[in-house]
Amino acid sequence: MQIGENTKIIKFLEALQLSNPAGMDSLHTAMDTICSEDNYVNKTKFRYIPKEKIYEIKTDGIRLYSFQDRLSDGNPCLVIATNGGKKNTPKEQNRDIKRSSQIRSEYLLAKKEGNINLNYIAIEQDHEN
Amino acid sequence: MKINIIRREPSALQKFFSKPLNFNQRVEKKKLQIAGMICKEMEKRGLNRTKLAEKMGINPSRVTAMLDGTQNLTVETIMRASEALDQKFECTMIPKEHVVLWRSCDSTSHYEVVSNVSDIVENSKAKFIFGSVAADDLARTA
Repeated sequence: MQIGENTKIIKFLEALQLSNPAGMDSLHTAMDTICSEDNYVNKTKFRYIPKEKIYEIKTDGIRLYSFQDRLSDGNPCLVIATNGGKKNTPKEQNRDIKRSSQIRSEYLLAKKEGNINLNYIAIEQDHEN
Repeated sequence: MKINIIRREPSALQKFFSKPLNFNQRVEKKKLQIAGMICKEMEKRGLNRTKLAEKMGINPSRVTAMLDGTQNLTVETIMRASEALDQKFECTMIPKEHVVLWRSCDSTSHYEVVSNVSDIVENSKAKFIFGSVAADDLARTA
């Protein structure tokens, strides 16, 4: 399993950054909002799929699938993006959700086995938020 | 299975997500936070968007726009939503350097915690944690 550079999600987000900067800003805000809440509930903006424990972030025609985790110190909260796409059909959505859930399971298994080395950039606390 | 995340220096994407939110994003975040509060109360009361719209006396499409974070919320809309949900809407301004982390506040007993730390809050940076961890946090702050 590969997390980091050269993954599909990174390529998707990099392409999005060039093609839809406003959408990316909105996505950034959405992810920041999820991170700042313990259990953010908003089915319009973030469809939470309880069975799969996956968030579908919907913004400006973009769908991003992700899940939440915490760093070992319990804080801050992480949002791990798994895959994404543009507005798609229910069939494609189900496929994306399944894929996202599979990535989440693989991640959790690797974490449980201690086979994970997660480097992250700590986002500066924005005091104006 | 082994997962390694190795990055020598931040990529453009990492830099993008590490940036503090700009003013417009902060406005959008506030709208989403208000929408989140409304959604939580709707869920507690088993209300869907149509029923909330009925109680607020507005069109369901406006409720959707409100929860989507795209509508510029007016104080009137927020007041209508809170009253439709049997809630009171309170607003506050705090010094810029203060950090406030809001968590759930379901019991009246938590108000006691707030009054106990109020002196500390006025004089220094403080963090509010409502809920079961509040007592520990209060001890740490003291």
